[in-house]
Amino acid sequence: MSEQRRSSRIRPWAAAAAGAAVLAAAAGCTGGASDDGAGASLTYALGDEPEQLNPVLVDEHLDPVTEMVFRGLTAHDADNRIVPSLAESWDVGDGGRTYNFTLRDDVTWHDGAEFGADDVVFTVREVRDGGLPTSHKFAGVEKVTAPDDRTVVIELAEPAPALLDSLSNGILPEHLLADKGIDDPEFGRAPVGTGPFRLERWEHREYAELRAFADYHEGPPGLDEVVVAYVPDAATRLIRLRNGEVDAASLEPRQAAQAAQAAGDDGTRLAVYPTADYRGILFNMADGMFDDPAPRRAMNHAVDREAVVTTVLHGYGAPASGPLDRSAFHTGGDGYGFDPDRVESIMADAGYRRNGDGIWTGDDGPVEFELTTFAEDGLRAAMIEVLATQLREQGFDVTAEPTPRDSVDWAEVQAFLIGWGTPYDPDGSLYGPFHSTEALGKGGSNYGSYANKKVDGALDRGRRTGGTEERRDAYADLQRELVDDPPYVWVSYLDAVNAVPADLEGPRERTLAHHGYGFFWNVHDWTRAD
Amino acid sequence: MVGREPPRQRGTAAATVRGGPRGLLAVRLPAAGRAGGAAIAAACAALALMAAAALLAPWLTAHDPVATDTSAVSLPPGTPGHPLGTDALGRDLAARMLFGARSSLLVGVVAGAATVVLGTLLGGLAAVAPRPVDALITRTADALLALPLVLVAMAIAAVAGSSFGTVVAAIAATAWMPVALIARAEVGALRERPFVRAARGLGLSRTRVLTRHLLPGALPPIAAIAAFEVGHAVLTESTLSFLGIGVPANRPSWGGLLADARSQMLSGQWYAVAVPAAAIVAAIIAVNVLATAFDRHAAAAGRTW
Repeated sequence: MSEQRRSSRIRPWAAAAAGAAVLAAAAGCTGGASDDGAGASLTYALGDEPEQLNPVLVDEHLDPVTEMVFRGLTAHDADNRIVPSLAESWDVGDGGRTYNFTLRDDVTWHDGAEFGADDVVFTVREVRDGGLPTSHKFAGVEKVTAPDDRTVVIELAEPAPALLDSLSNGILPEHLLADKGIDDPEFGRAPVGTGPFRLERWEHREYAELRAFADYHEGPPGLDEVVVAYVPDAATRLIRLRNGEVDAASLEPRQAAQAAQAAGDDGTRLAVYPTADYRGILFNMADGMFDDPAPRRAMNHAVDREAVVTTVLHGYGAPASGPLDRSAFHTGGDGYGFDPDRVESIMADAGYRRNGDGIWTGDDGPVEFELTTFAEDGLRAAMIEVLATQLREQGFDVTAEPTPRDSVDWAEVQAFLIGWGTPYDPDGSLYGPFHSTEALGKGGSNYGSYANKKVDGALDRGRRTGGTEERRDAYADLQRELVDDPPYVWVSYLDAVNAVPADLEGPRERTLAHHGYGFFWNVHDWTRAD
Repeated sequence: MVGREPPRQRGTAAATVRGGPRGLLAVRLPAAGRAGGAAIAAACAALALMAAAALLAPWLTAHDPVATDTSAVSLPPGTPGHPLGTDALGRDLAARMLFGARSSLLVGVVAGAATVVLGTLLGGLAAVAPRPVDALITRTADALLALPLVLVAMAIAAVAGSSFGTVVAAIAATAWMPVALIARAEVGALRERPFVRAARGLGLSRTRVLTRHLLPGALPPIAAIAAFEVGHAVLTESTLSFLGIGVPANRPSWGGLLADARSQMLSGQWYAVAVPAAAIVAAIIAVNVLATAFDRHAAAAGRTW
């Protein structure tokens, strides 16, 4: 039944690409896809669907719908620098321990209520105390107060430069959630935010329909309607795009080449943006077999990253040299590159010899291990096949063995093709994966249980020092140390490939987040020419 | 609307569950005579070829079936050094087909055998055991027959993780019922025959009568269905591997090759799908032709009394 309803609704949107006259006619006979009959709409097919549309429940993986519905105190511009959003200005005092925010006075919630300082206080406090995936962002907040309705004061135990970044996460309405709690599942299904689009309806596993919010504080958005259709299978997304059932879609690299050929003929164009989302081979340090850094260093020279990018990513990506390549804190100069001679010299100098099969052998026997990853992720599964072959060719006996996501036991993994990275403040995507206090055994996301005192020190300085220069030094130290004692073999960064209608104006290139999220960052500026 | 299967007709669904094989598995030997003889010869040749390919795989190709080659990706068939071309990661398709034959045929034969053994034992037990045990076995078989078996096999494979053992177990656990029902009927009929009564009268134990007289007597009809079970097992293995829950993903199998190639369909590399699909179809048709011939042979040999 719902399937039926959906088909009758989506077809008019597809027709919008063909012309407003067609849309008006179709809208007339289906009860109206948009109220004024000639509104510009966009239907976007996406693979991942969140369980709930609540920004406090997701760290790093903010899906487009949540992104469009909510706004934070701050936002990121095209260069991922912090800019004002719901807060129009702020000043920092007490050596980076006190933040004074002045809020905009023209912001309303989608239900018509007025946005105010109480909402900010409520959100920060509830997130900090709520034991949520985002709680760590506000862990250092000692006090958050609202001296008046347009002012919020946040006091920290110690400087936390990532705070402005954390406050780009959506603010939630106190008047709706004070009683039910900030993680109310009902709210997660029917969210109310202050963003440029409000959620009209959400059919789980099918689509989310968003309408322009006329009272958006930066003015009404250029599009009247955005529909996000959830289509897990990439091949199906491309077919739906070809059939005109959707007019934009997130594509996989291997499809991008085909889509690029068709672009123009089918009225679409490709928007290819870099992301900070990297893939790297994690070594399980708890295993003991990777204690010696020499093989890890050598393996960083044993993989041909260019070949991986060309074949697996079809050119939609770039070789990775570390976790900060796409960050403002990148210092480079690491010298990783495909270099069989370096592999030979590093391994030979460390006392390894090739055995009869050509495999590097040390005191503990040959270097052999299983490289696994999530089997459902076709890109990662293909990458480990290529990486295993490349490593075998350089004398490391690596077997590629993809594992279904639910069967992955991190404690048992020997090596894993993992993905991290953020285009925003680096702390969020570094501290968890590499700090020894975040090790797997302690419940953290340092799944490889990597422990290096110098790395810990650099991460602590990066997290707690106020000045940009000091942070730059800290992260430069970090990057040097990660080359010397590599926790991963960094492989590649991914590009996000989206097909959009040729007449869509407004999408602007920005380094996007994990899975290419953030594509809709300036959606209120988007318009369609038709 | 794309993405929704048209509802299957109730009658057909019931017929397929109750009424035996459909699709590929329903292919049978053509009418007896010269055509039949030629078909049998062709089927034997095809299976012998496949078995030889599987056994001799390491000697028939210089390529490692899992080694990628980033300088030779997506080559068409006929490229020097790669007779069937390469896949999107530069793995040699001929090598993958040969080593895939190992997985697919091995699973087919082992799972087919496991199915027959399990089915025969359960069926024989049902025929000679006390009524409650008989009821338990036959009701379980009926219940399983009423379920879409690929779903059951998928559930088993998904829970137990992918390995050769699980695939064999999943196939055997979902395919033993027809064998068991036939074995039960055959043994039940044999029990009343004079030579069995005579054996009982001579003082042989129940077990000895079952193993010495009843089961061997029931074998000819079971042998005929056994060959069909091998074909069924090859197809189920391919289905499971295609769905990513069959033999481990990094070990080539025909079904796995199909799954890998699916994404290349739209880019015009039809052969990546056509080659493994043709191998699966050929193997099953060949097995079924032989099974039909065996069935007829058994019938002609006077399995009527």
